[in-house]
Amino acid sequence: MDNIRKQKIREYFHETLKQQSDGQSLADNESLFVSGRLDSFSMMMFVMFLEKDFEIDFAALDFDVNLIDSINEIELFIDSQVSV
Amino acid sequence: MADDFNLASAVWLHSIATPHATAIAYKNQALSYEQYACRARDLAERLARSPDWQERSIKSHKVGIFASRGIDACVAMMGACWAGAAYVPIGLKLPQEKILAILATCELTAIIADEEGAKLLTDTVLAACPKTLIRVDQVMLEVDDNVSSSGHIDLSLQAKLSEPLRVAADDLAYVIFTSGTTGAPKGVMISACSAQSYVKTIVETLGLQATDRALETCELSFDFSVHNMFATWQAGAALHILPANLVMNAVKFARNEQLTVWNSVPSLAGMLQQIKALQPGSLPDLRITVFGGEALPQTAALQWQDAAPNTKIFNLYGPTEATVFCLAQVFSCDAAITAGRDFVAIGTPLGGCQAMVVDSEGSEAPDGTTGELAIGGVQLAQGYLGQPQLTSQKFPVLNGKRWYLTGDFAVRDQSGVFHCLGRIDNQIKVSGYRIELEEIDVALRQVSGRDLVGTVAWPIVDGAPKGIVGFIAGSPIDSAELTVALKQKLPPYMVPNRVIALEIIPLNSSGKVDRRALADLLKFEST
Repeated sequence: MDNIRKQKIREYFHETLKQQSDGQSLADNESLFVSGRLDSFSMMMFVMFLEKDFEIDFAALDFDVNLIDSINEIELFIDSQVSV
Repeated sequence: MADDFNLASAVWLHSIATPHATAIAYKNQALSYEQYACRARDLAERLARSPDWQERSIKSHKVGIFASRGIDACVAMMGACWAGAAYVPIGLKLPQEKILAILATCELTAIIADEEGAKLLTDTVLAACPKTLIRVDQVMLEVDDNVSSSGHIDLSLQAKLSEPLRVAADDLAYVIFTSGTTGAPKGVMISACSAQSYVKTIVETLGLQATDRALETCELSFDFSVHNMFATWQAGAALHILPANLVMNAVKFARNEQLTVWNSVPSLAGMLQQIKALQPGSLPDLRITVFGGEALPQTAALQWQDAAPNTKIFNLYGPTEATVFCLAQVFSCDAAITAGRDFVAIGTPLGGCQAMVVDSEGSEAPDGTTGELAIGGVQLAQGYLGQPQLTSQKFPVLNGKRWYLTGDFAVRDQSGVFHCLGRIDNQIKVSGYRIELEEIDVALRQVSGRDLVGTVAWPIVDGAPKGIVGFIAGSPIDSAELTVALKQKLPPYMVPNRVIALEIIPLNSSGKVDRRALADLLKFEST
């Protein structure tokens, strides 16, 4: 994934965490959902964001939260989907 | 022999009849019925040996449970039941202030905690706790230590607790705390008779079998867990606990574990649908689905039926005050749908329950007329712990019989099916959590120092609230600071996602904060 796209993902989560008054920093390898830092509703919103902005079709996938649990994993996930 | 109302009896009976059958599975651990009964019995003995237990001569001991979702939480709760006590689950996400309020109300005889729960026992909390504090994960060690170091075993106690202690119909089975409008949580007292009646009725209604493998998605402090656990164990089936951090992997979990029974709030199904985890035919093994805790949208039920073509879907309705669920509707393509709301109807009363729609005078309203839904029958709670006035207000005697006024608008159609039409008051449900908006108002007023505040459910997705937005009058306050302060007073699911400062808070004609106008502002903002 190019840096612009990765930066876009970082900004998305920066904004989401800010809205939830979570001012702590977020490293690229940190767990977002499995750790409970973001809840299931935030995950749903993020999936919708990926569908819209990255044109990923989740209907064709076997959904697994671990695929999108950190910015690094999201990067790998988007790369794998773009190359499909 | 007199009827036995102890909820632990089913586990004990299955431990004799099918000792090696799985009772609970969580992550890579499992307990057979024999192992489960053994651990519950050891814990019950440990409880009954404690000086507090032996010194206090009371009808129903109450035992607080501080445990996270998992096998130890089940053992803790079952140990209390086995000893004939009422269990009082305490949500681990509650702020200290609320925990102290619950402890002050309960007069607990003992506390059982797991490793996670023990972290909440700060010096301040411990000062409010009973002296008897047991770590459920250390009981096995303690039992062994006792025998080897003292060489003395209390044989009479062992004999007495070789099976669950018999309890009377009106002994308490559990106390579950719910949100209260004044800011103080309300402890709903459910008797052993009400709990047993529910469990036996629902097992028969659903047709649960010993071969079933059922899903658990709830914490002990959410009364849906009473259904999930005790109905499963009554049937001699296996309870498969979904790890809390894998909720969005629930479909995969159900497939891998070959679950046959699904229990959840409809919101979870909606979210799984949104993230496309739910595909046609993706849950072929499911034969029973129980949705409860909030309204079931017809579209969600249809999509679920596509995903689980072999399942029978039950839409269950009920307040905590009437022991989990008291009305049921089986969903089918031609099932009754509530007009104008596109929700599946809430159906007809379960055996042992009665329902009626009452008018403002407390008289039964004719079919087709909207009024407040009242529930009667064996499943009614004894009332609110330590709040006799509120109990008589919410559980009035109408026509010579005791009823619970649910606060839900409802109508009964000509075929006798009940339809829920929303709330009379400001209670909402977010992912099954019951929330009184006034309770959030109280906290917001305290932490903001502003008199005029209001909260609304927002956003609304498929007719269901997904979050909360707060409003305060006057100039903006640092929202991060406000959130930190609110987290000290409210559980996480009640903390507003945003707090907006308005120069003027709209008031309605009676001078109260106009929540509808506030919601309109949010609608306008999102368009």
